[in-house]
Amino acid sequence: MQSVVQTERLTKRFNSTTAIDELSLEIQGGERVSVVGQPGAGKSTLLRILVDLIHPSGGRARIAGFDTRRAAYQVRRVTAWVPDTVTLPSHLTVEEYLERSAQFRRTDPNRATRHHVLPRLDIAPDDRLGNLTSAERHAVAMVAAFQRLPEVVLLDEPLAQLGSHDWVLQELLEVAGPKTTVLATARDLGVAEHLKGPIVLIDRGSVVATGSLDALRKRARHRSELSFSQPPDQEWIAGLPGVMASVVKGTTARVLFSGDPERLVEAAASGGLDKASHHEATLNELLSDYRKLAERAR
Amino acid sequence: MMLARARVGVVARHYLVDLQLYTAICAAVLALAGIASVASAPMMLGRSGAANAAARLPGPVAKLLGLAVGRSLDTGVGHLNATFLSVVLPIALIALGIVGAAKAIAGAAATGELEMLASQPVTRTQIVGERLIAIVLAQIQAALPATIIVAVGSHLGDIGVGGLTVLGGAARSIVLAALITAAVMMVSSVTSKPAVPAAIGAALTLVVFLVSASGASSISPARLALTSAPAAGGGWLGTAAVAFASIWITVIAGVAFERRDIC
Repeated sequence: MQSVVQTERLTKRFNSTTAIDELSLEIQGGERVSVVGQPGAGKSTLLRILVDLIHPSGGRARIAGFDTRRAAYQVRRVTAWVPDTVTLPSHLTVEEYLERSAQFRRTDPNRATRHHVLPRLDIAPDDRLGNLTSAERHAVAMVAAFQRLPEVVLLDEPLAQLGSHDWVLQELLEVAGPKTTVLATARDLGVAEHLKGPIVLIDRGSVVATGSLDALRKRARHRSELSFSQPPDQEWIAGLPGVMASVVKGTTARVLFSGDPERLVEAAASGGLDKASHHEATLNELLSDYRKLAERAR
Repeated sequence: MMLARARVGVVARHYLVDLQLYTAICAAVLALAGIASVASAPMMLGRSGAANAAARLPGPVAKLLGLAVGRSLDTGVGHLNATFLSVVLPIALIALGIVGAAKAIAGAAATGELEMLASQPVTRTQIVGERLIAIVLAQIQAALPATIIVAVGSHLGDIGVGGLTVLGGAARSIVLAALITAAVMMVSSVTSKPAVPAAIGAALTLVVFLVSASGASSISPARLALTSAPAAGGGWLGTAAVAFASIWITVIAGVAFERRDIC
């Protein structure tokens, strides 16, 4: 399969701050990728570079084979971008805005996209954009993006803006079909559940890990509390599969481990395990782990 | 891969609609000024009082009002120049241009609308160029009713200025307004604060008209574009030079906007 979105050592500096630091990324056609990171990680900057709103300080990016700097116009022909904060002309009606958005291309828009979303939000075509809530405006902006049938859709923190209307994303992804490549950013892993595609963990402008949600979680550290019928042996606990650190107090062992929790439970069962509770790694913990791994690899 | 062709003129058409309110206000003000200019003609034409008043005006003011030698307030040309064509019409159109150009890029950047527009399949040069064209079209729309009123009023009221002369005067005002608009657009292209290009545009207008009224008037775009108008007895060369300068300034604005980060 061909790479539709590709960045090579992409770098963006704002004065002394490095927002994107030699970021290399490859996304195949039809993939639905979640770019996850904390605020300030460089997610929005990455998307803005991809639609040439921001010019990179170094490296390069390509969309559908077009260089985002040299062929910015062609890139925008095949790409739709929805920012995290959507500003729409408040004096226009929903219909006027969607028609305006469609007029940038000679091809007819997919007007059916509107009927999938707007009636369910109780948004009428003649509603003024200025009278809509910010979540509704975001939904209208997303409809405008998807109705153009773009090859690549770039969504900046869509779930944070849609709030309780997160079904809009799912609906539009279904309308878009499997050929549309989607790149969505998020501060948490929720968006990955909607996109059901690979995750790119980004921190301080660099990719620290990529993979499916399960794979990332398995490779990261987890905390677990294991309760036994009798006080377990400290060395035996430390030797359980994946355990990196452990503390034993009475019949309870607290362990820090990486890998499959089920394997740990199976192994611990032979020592008289009564109960096991796992604490899955939070985004911060995942990022912290993968950042350390990346630093070590450098 | 089959790509859809981008549509030329979409940005201009949308922006022309966005400027409707400002265009209507400007057109209404100009129409009232046009009516006042035509209605006051019978009180001035051929009256020695008007001629004497014009003669008493300080030189720079007379120059600014297009009251060159032989074109006193008691003549039709002098009257229309002083009350409409030389100052009122160009200043109103320039004001519309300043508002339009300040909002076009800097204003849109401040509200966040610019990034939505710039992510569409249009080039940045197209945004600057088409928005400038939209402003000039808005200026034409705003000037047209008043120009028709003055031309028809001049004919009916025996003011003695032909319709084409009035039309020519209005066209030159639009050319001058386009020059200032292009300059404001250039500033607007490199900032996200609409007050900056607006202030620079106002200052530039003041300077242009002051220079026009001064001894160095030959270098003033206002002098070149306006007081050399048929209503003042001049040719079209100066106007063409001002129009040419506007195009170059727009090109520079496009290049500056192309290099800018929108964030």
